[in-house]
Amino acid sequence: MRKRTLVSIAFIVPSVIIVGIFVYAFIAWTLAASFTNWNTLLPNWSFAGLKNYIYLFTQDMRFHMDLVNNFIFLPFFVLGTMILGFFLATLLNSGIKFEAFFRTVFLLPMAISLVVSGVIWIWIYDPTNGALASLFQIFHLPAVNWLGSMTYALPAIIIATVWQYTGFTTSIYLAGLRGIPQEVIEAARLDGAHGLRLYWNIIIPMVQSSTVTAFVLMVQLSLQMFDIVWVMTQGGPAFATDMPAVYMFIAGFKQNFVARGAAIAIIIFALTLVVVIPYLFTAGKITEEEA
Amino acid sequence: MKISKKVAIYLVLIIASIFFLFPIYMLVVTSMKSLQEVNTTSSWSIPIHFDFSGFVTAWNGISQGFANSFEFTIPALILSVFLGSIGGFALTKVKFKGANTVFLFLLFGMFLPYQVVLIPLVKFMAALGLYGNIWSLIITHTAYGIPITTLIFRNFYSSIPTSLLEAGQVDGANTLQIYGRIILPLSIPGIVVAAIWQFTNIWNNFLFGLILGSMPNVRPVTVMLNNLNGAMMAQWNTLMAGALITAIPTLIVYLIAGKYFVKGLLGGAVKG
Repeated sequence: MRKRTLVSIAFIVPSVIIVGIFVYAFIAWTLAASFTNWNTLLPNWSFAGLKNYIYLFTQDMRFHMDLVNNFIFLPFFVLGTMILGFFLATLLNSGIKFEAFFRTVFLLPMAISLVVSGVIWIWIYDPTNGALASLFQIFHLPAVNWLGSMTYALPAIIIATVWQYTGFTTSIYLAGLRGIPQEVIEAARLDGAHGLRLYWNIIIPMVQSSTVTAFVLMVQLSLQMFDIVWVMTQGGPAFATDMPAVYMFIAGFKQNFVARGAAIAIIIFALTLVVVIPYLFTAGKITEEEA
Repeated sequence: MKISKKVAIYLVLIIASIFFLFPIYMLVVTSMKSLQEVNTTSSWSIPIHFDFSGFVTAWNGISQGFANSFEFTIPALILSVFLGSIGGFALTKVKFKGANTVFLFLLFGMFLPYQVVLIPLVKFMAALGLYGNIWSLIITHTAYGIPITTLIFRNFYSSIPTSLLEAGQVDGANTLQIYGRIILPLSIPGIVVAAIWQFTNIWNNFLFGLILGSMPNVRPVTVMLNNLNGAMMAQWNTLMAGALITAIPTLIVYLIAGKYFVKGLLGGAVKG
């Protein structure tokens, strides 16, 4: 029995060591670097205290814009994907034909790279020949340079990301809806719950775990949103679509502001923990109950 | 259900399908046009004259990346699926002390914003002398794939009855033999789910390729597509051809094995 345990522990040790280095040790490294003066080409581990954080929060206009953009992006993206996802999942779950076909179509964007999506959406938004410009011309509306506009660039990116991720939330909600026993819904109907009341009182509370999962995942994705922004606008025009993750990449890899890049990364990480820690805590509880 | 209600549901689903499919439609039709045919009046129409010159130009620009992506995706997929399988086995079939803590320790990696590891990752690879080497991408994608593959296999093995293992033990088989003879053959569905999920994730990744792929000999296809986007301004037929080439491997996998893709998606999402 003991030998069996030893071999099994050997099975898990490689993963623990690798994750220990690539996740935990690297986080510690970034945290340490964020407290240094390493805003130079050559490594400089001299202690700077909170200097980088204070600079970001009190003086750095770019970082202020990043936070504002990120907190505009976040509710539209999270609510957009969740509401659309719940709505589409409800329709898919209403006993229709071709359900598998529609499901496959909605989830298709999840199978392709954000770089591919980004390039396609740049083409759709192209002010001279793009799909939108073409529609606008039919209706004799003036051409708009969507991605070059301070007003429209961020909403344009939000639409592209909602397009990419709505299939994900739809799948999460569909799994949740299928988990509701049919008897529960029948019983509620017999008690006189119909239409919106049936949803509000019975169905929405019963898919609560799907809601929590979708919420945590979508918030987490918002906070680290990088790929599609980098491909579509690189944060422009004039930082109108800049995000903390974009600035982190620029500071850490293009400008040799290693300590500042590390500080931005730690801020993104801390914001993520606010939603992830409670989630993992409840997930941990669930697994303990199962065990 | 009333007919009118049914019609309304189908109508909404069809409108939603148009929203999800029209970018893919634009991708495909534009890639097969000549540049002259890409203009405001005909950007929505199907090609009048099929022209594949965009594919030729795009392929010249990204073919090396296409090969590179396969070169690191396949080994990283195999390694992360293997580690997830043996780890998931250890976590479910042997009740060692702290198994739950170890699981949470690994699971946390699933929610990691990669920004917080990027700088040390590059320094680490440089210190190992692997920067600019294909192994830097293989190791990186293996490491960050472990949390999800372990989760998938842990959930999968939870559904295999422990009595099967006990039967093996009565026969005098040791743990390695139990894993190899009993667990592994039963694991095929779990392996398919984890492998498809990892293939899609690793192939589609951009961020790790961007920071580790400074040399063309290791640069992934996603990064090369983004560079093509910078170099081929407004050459929409070429860019769409490049985007289609980049998307083809994961699209094929999705269309053939979509069922397993969804399982991977939900395996990492629903049952924490």
